[in-house]
Amino acid sequence: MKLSKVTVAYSGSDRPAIEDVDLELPLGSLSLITGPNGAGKTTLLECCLGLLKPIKGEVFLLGVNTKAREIIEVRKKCSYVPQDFIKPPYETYTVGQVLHLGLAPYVPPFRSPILNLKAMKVVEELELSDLVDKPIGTLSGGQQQRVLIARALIREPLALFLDEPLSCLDRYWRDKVMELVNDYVRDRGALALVVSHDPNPVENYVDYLVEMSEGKVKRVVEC
Amino acid sequence: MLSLLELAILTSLTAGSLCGAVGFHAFKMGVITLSFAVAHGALAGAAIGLVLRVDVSYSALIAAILTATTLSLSLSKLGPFRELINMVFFSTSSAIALLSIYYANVKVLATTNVAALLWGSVLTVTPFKYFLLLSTALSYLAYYLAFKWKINSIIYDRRLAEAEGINVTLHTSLLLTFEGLSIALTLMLVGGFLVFSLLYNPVIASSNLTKETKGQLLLSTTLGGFSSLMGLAISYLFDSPVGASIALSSATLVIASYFLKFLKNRLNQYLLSGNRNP
Repeated sequence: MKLSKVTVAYSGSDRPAIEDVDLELPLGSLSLITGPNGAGKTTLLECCLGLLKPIKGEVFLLGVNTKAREIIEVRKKCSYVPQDFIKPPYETYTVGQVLHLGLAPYVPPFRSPILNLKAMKVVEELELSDLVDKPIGTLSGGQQQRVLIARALIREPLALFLDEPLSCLDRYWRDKVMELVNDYVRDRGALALVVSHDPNPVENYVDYLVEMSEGKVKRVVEC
Repeated sequence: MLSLLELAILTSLTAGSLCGAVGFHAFKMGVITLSFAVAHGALAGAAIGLVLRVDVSYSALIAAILTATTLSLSLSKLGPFRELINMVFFSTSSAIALLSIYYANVKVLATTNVAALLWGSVLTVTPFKYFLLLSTALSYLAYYLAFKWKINSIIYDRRLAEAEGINVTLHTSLLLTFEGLSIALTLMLVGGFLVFSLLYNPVIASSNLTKETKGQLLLSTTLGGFSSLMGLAISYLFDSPVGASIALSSATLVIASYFLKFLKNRLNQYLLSGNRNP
């Protein structure tokens, strides 16, 4: 993951959301992007995935420029847990369907995705087995967040992008989720970028701590 | 060879079902205003066909595909102005349609061609046009069955699907193109101003009757076909304009669905209160 002199601006805004960001994070590392509200953390994450295109500079995700067409294929090797994941009560997709939908990009035409044994283990570890038939909109925020984290992990990605993945979780689940993510990164040699305004408990596991403020990377600390 | 009535029945059933399914996906994928622009692009194309004295169904077909392609290609570049640009497309297409009708050298709106364009006529249905409609419907069914997981992923969360490597722009473009084709081929039955009744009335009716996504799609497709047939029957029995009859019958189904939803809610409340006070 490499960002070189990256500036991103939203249309209508008089100042860039992130400016002149240089950052390089290797595979097999877990990084925490932290900073106050409005620091540009989510913008940086979405820029890494190529969902936002920089007006200046270049972003390379797993070696591919995010402005290139191939970025769609590269994203299949990535997982994302967005900040605004909560679905309203009328959302009718079940937990099982939401998990299967995560595998949709890999499914050939006319075929259906299947959860393998590793995926079932993740579902069990996040205690979602009893919820698979329930509509996701009827679950609590914390349960929905665990579903999205499970969906991210069962895709077996090379890069994980987690935007405030612990925001709705209690102390027990915050530790448990970070342990799962940490084990995944170490076992697979994957890259994980976790955005969190609260470093606790993420900082216990990280290799790099990226501090942001007012759209700029203020400090990168190797832990 | 099929009689005109048989052809009209098959066309209404196929057009209604296709519009019910396409409208459902357009609603779920959040491209209703885009489809609005495509529909009026088709209407403008049909009106241009009047000026050029070619079959309006084919000129509508070309215009619908051109509008859908243009909108699809510019989709990612329009950003927050997408809705406004759609409205520009809509008003410009409507203006082109009205100007074309004005210059089409037809003196009154009741002229058969203009009437067929604005509010539909079974007289304009031919076996070849039905073949095109059926081919579009079968192609859409094949497309849905092939990519239903990807389509559902976009419906569930567009941004997440894009982040996970689904080509959201491609599928949105395909949906818009299918919608453009469906609209252009349904114009002959219901006309340019009433085609939305077949696209979106079944969607709201099905949403009132079931909460399950798969059930809503099936019901929307079924109700689209049923309301179209019902409208055709009313038109035949009372000698009323077919487009307006179809639009009113599908609106009746929407009202009926709200009534059924109300009854279902009351029944649930009654059963719940019964459980609390045995």
